[in-house]
Amino acid sequence: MSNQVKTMAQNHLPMNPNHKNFLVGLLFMLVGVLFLAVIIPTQIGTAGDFSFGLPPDFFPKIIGWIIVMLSAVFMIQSLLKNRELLQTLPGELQRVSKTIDIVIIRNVVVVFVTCLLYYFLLQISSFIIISPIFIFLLGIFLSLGNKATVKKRIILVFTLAIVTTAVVFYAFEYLLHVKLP
Amino acid sequence: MLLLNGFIEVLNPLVLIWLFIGTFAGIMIGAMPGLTATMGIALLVPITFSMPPLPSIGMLLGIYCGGMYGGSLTAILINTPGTPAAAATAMDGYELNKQGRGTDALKMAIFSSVIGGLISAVILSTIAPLMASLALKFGPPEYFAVITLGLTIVCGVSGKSLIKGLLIGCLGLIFSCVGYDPIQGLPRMDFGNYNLSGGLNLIAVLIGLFALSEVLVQSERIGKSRHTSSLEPHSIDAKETSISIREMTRYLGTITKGGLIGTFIGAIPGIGGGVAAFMSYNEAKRVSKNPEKFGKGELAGVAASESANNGVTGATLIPLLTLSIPGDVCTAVLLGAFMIQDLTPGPLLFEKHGPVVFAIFASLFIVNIIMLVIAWFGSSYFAKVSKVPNYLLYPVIIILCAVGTYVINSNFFEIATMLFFGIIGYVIRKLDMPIGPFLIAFILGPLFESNLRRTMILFDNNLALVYTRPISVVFFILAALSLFFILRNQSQINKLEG
Repeated sequence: MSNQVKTMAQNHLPMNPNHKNFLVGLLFMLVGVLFLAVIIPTQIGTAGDFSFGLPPDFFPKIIGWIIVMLSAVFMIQSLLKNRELLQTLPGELQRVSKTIDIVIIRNVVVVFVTCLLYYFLLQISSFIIISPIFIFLLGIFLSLGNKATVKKRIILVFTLAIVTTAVVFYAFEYLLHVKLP
Repeated sequence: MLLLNGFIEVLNPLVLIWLFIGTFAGIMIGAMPGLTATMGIALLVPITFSMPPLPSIGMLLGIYCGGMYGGSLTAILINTPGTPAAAATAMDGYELNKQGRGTDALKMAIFSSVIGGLISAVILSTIAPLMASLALKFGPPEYFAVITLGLTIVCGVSGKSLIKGLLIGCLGLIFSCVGYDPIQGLPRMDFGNYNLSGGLNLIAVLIGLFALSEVLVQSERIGKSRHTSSLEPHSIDAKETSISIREMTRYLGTITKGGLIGTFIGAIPGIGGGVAAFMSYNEAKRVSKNPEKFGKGELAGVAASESANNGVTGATLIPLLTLSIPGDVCTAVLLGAFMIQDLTPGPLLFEKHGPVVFAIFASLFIVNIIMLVIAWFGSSYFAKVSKVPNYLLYPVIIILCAVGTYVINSNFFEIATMLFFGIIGYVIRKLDMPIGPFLIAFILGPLFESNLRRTMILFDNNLALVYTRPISVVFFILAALSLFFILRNQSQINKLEG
């Protein structure tokens, strides 16, 4: 990690709560509008007899409208708490984007991408082969920066990878009689 | 008589072993900073697929009760409360620990937890059958009213911002609409994927939301600090002389009152252990001769909060088992486990599976006794669990998430669902929004919609006629009262937490 990134991470400050709430409201407004304007018309069947009771899109439409109204209230609430919010929002976003903690993003992305890889590889291989590799690689990555010596960490993670895979496989296949991939 | 038969069934060695495993695992999970009983249940539900109902539900109840107690270990030892309830315990528990009386605090915590849990179990086994027989008279309008009451839970688990909780609840309702329409059977939001035509799988959703998203959040800290707290647990010598049971009985009044407060609060859907613990703590402080000692290391503070905290455990099962309304997020997860065992909660549960239900009640008593034994002798050792490095813990949790979701239908689609909801859960957490309302709404959404629509058919699209049904009216009034108390208690908790 470069010194510049380290400095950025150290200077990382959370976003102003009013700005954050405004953006949450905006996000949910978009979700509500997308749901009402795109998903409900295209994804809910209408080929039934609705002469009695309520149609299938009644309940989803109500939820969509509630989301739109609540998010509007939330955005207005944030604006009322900080009347200069709209003027200061671009500056706040710029400040936050400059101080984004690279370590946080790196860790989350690596963990999630490893999970995705595990999911895809599990479909073409088997649990007993892929799992120890996954545990070992993820364990080593997550142990970066740990105080323990490299040798100790490798031994611990390697043992964990083998033991966990064996225990899970044995428990599901033989004790619980559930087939694993 | 049924309860007695239940005890006989639970005392089967095989069942006892599972109860022991569950309670032990629950305490360990609760003792690890960042892990909660809810996450533990979500992770271990899949292993109950091929187990008989009693050992599986008993084991999960063990995790529930053990996890509740386990949370107090980190609260007392490293001042890291995982839940609002444990926050009340930390106020005096950690102070006692700093004064070198950590063992006293831990023993008082387990003693009062167990008494609180037992009080709750007694009331559960007395009240639940009566409520279930009343609920047998319910039709769609009554259920519609009951589920409206249940949906007030969304507000109860919303945390500091009600609007955020409601928005997340609505998101949960949207996802609950995926799959066939409950009345006309038309497809909804399946995007042409046959895996979605039956709706999203509850277990995959909750594992993603609670377990995977937690790992993603915790992984942020890797490379920065080892734990959520850099504080090292105060070392406690297991042989250190400490408070005796006789001394602890001096606090029996506080403990009993705490247990009753916990039970009362727990029986109201949505309020939960946090409010109960703080209410009980306040009450103990109010009647104490030395209120100034509270917050500075007073055993009565630990006793009050812990007894109320565990008093909630049995009580939250009352609305769950009788009306199919989970009392809190943890019991919402337990609902999935009941369904897997074909024990769909509701009034018919007592008619169809009476002996099993009473055996489950009995298991709650036994779990508390097991918890007492395990924690009394092992609390100082459990404290060491909080030192397990995260890099060893998280890969194992992810493997359990993947395997747990795969075995639901032996289908990779469930793993994809879990991963998707892991990301959704992560984003929700990063936006400082609560996850509980999502799950509650996701569970209650289909029940609410189907009963609303049945009611509309019954009343010829005139919903106002629902007020001609006295039971519905009672539940609507209860919903309004519940909402009032939830909002009032939330503001009190917010004030207490500063």
